[in-house]
Amino acid sequence: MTGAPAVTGLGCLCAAGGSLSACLESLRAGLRQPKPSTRIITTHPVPFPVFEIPGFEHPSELLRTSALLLAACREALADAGLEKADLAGLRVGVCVGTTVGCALSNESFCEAFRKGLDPDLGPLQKVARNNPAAVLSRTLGLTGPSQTVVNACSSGTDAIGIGASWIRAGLCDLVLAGGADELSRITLDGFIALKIVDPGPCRPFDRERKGLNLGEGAALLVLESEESRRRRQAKARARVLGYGVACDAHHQTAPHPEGAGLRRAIRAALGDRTGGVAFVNAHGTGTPDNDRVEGRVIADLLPGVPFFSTKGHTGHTLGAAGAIEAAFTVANLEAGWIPASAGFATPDPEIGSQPSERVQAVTGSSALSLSLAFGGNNAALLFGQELP
Amino acid sequence: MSVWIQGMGVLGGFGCGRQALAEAMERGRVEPGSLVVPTGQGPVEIAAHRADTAPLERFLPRRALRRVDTFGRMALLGGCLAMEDAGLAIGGQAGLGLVLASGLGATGATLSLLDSIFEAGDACASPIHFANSLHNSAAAHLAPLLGADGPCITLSQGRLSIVAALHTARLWIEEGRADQVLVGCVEELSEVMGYAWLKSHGSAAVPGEGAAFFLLGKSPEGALAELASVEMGWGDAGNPVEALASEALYGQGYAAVGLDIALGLLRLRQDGLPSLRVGIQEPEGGWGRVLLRPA
Repeated sequence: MTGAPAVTGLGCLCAAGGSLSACLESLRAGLRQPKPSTRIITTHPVPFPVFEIPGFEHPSELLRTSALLLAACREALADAGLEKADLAGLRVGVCVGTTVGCALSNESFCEAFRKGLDPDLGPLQKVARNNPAAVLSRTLGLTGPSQTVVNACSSGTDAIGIGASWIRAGLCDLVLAGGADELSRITLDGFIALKIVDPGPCRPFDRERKGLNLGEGAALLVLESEESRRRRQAKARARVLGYGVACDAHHQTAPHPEGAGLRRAIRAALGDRTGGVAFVNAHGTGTPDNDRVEGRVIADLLPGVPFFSTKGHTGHTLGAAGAIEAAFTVANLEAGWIPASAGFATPDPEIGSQPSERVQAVTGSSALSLSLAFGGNNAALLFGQELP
Repeated sequence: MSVWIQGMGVLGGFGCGRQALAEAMERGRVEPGSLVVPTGQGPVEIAAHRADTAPLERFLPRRALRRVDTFGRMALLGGCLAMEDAGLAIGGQAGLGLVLASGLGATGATLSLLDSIFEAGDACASPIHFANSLHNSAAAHLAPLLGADGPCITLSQGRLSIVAALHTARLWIEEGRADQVLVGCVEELSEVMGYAWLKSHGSAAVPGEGAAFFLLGKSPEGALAELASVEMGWGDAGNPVEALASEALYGQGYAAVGLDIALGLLRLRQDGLPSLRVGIQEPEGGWGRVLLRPA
């Protein structure tokens, strides 16, 4: 096993911005623009707002999810000072989270199938060819392990955690780890059916919160072994100091009321570290259950540590969320400030803690990024600048 | 670190359980069942190796399964069989890790969800079908049943999914995240997948559905075999893998790779082989292989 993997490159795009720096500007300025989708047409009586990336075009052979991932990858590789040719001599793995990107749910195909119209298999074959990890491996000509995580809303966090494990285990010199998801009518309908979508802009951790807003986007982290980083003289923007993952084993869709799995995931990510956590980038979806459980656990395990949710800026980007928030966590830790938790106005006495209300400076050597997911999955990443 | 296969749970056209697969291996062939596929020319019956989940009632009352779809039932049965094979209880398994794999996911529930939208509009999407349509729904059913509150993840990498799952589970044990991890792959031959098979293969090949679960742990005591290595990558795998010629037992398709590993384990034990390598090289570029050694 080798030391803590370095984060040497970051790339991100979502409704908050077309690049990581643009996203951070939006976060700092408190800008957010949830709107009814321009791409998804539904018959809902209420025009549920979403966080859609405007003007994103992509080749027809790619799913939007894969195209978003490739865009994030280009930015991350450039940030790491890498070109495709540089990867040829390295053991490079790919670990990517998604939900929509692996779903065989092409509407036109399924509708034609149900109508007995004998549809062509093209749409299904397109999904199969667009497995996000496979798209990256194929496009960049990589030879290392290639794996797609479909762990619902914690997929991006888990993908980064597993990618870091590959480096620690000496399996890879470099791993492209992250997540990507596009907006989908089916997913939107599903969350609305579960009655956890806010008909207005979402309000994470607020007393009046009504649910989430869906979003789309992608983020990619270049994780690198210390040996490779030194050889390239690349800067470590941060290191993956810890990863914890634990299941509630409680309910198919609801979190454990005491956050049992989340507590174990956070403790596993922190390891022996007892202090120095500058902030927590919370999952904070804006659903009553998630925010109540998560807010209580953060207050209990990390009292006084500031926390926030960025879903008021990005929407819930599902399989991409953990990766986007990991990228924000690294960038905010590096920059020494955190944003206000957009949408929050009134403390919830049931939570007993409240998120960041303004842009504020933070100090500390590490920061946590959390994800909770359908199925009772919980995942936590600890980033920091400790030397391995 | 050595990682051991301590139990195995399989189901497919051959029946369910390690013994059923061993008996099928002895016979060398299983008569396929059938699947009725709706087409524009009317229903077409194709030969298919189908998995029967009725034995799940041995582990769970029928009432507890009323909201669980076929995909979830196959996972529950495969998981319970592997736990039973390892001599472990169905429940109270604190700290147990869970890695689920599926290349196709819950395609039946996905189509049912879409049906609910097509038939009655967006506002009438079924929340139960939505929950069951997610790739990780099988793990979401299995973890509470087993009380498995250790690390849990679901992976999807086409036919390589089970290899990716074994790769992650082995790493978790090596890292000390869990002492034991239940790993399984599930692939469902739903109506829509039957249609896809018919369109792309006609009657030239027989598809199969099923599940293959393996209970991995650190202890060799009572183990079925050692999981000596798991490798995966992209490009040319280089080393060849064993051809198990197993289509006659459980058909072709995404479920076959997990069942191939299970069959390889049985062959290893029956034939007294020093080792056996099972794997797959995808035409698109992905490859994966596992090396089994006797316990």
